[in-house]
Amino acid sequence: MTEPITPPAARTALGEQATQAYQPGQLILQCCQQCQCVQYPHRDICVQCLSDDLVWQRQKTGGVVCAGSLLHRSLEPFFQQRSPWLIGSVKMDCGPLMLAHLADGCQYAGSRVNVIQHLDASQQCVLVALPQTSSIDMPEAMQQRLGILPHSGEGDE
Amino acid sequence: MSVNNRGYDGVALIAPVTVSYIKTSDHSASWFIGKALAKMLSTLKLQKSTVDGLAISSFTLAPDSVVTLTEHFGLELSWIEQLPLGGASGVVAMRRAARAIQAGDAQVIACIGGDTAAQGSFAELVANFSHFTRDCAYPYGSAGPNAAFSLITQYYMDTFGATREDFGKIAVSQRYNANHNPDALFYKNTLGLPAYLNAPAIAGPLHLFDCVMPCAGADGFIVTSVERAKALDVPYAVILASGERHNSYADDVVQFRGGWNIYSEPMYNNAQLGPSDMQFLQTYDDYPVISMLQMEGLGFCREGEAAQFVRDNDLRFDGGGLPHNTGGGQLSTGQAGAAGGYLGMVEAIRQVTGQAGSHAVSHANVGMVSGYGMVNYDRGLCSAAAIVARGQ
Repeated sequence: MTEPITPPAARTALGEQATQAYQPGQLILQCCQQCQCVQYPHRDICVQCLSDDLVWQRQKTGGVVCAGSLLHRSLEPFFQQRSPWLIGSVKMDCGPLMLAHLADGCQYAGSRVNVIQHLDASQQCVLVALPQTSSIDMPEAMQQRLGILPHSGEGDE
Repeated sequence: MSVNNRGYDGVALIAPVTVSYIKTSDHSASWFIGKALAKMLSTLKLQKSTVDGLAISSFTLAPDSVVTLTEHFGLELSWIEQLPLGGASGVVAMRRAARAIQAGDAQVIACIGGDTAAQGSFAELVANFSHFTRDCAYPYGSAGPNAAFSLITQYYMDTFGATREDFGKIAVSQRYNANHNPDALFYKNTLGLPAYLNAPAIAGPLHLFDCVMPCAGADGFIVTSVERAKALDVPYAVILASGERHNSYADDVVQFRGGWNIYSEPMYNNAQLGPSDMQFLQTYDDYPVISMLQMEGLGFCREGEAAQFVRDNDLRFDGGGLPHNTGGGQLSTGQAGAAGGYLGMVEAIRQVTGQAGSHAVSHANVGMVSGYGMVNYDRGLCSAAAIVARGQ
């Protein structure tokens, strides 16, 4: 039996904290207790007031896509096998700009999306942008892409 | 934040050198940097002991550093600097070294960007580029810089109406320039617009010829006094004005401008010149769209109008328009890590000192060189630029 090919699992200590704070279907980010600024990427020090009083808290999931891109090349076998792979940047209503996996149909600038966290096939928390019109539940197609649900009809590895 | 208007009187730039680029190498970064230093000294017929300052930029030098290199190369120095600024390294090294010369902290400063490229080392570099990268960029498709720049390019196309043909004109013109530069990795490979347009897709709107070829190599130059340059009887360049700015416009949702937009006007004022006086422009061209941001930020055209500017102007070194990336740029010479941040600087010195050989811009006396670098998350953080001229 060969090792399953998984997405990159390496994280910093803060990235590990993000995965520990993960709750299904939600978006948990650091929030500064001094100035209420929501942080992303994860930080040791508040980007706005330099406080270190940052607490992982549930945030509003709404945002708008700034740009989307279909990646045809990757440095990682996991994504090479699933090429092309859709990502994009999302300006969140709660403040930060987030790079995320995009669900199909979300790649156009101006698309309203919900960005939620999900565990990927490496058991690391990743951001997924879903059409705002759909339910907050992760669509099956997206779970299949992320490798957390086997493709229908796919045999054992 | 103010802009420093103090000039660079008495400072000379000499000895532009390149250690030939190669796709992969078993040599260390120290080897490439050391070869560049040796080449400078032999060009100038200078003793090694004359060098008393060293500025280094390299992505692959660790765990060594500029100070371990002093022992490696047997140098005793009064001034050292290490600049992890990627594509802004060359211009910033020049700025730091120039001030050290003016202050008398050193007399002869070698500035070198150099990197090796082992098989597969690029993936390692990309995956661990920074904390932000590891947690919040690399897990999303693991496409390295191509991912961030595909988003920047897509946004620029959506917002300002640039087309692939416009980016293609930059790439094809640079290839023409590279075909006149024996140091370029693609010296012998021509490129036309149809081949550019039909190249394999890489990421979003980016296709093969929008992307640089990572490779090994080194570039460097020496910063010293005008007095010493004259005593050495070598052609030299002078700095008329320069600027740098980091993490500018952090609130822009996607990068479409950089620090240049802030300091270009004071820079032209200090040089008492304008964009139309520039006989060439060396931009940092990790992707064509970034060259466009520099054309706009440095006042060659207005914000959002670089595509039209590119359509209206011949960018070849001998085309009579605005000679751009006259040695081929990184898109056609390769990207030797941090040396990519030195390429434009070295090329600019060559052009104004009559050392550009078969890709010389006719009667080039003054031109602009620009740097850009360090994608920590979704955009380049560093910007730097300088106007350099032939020393009289």
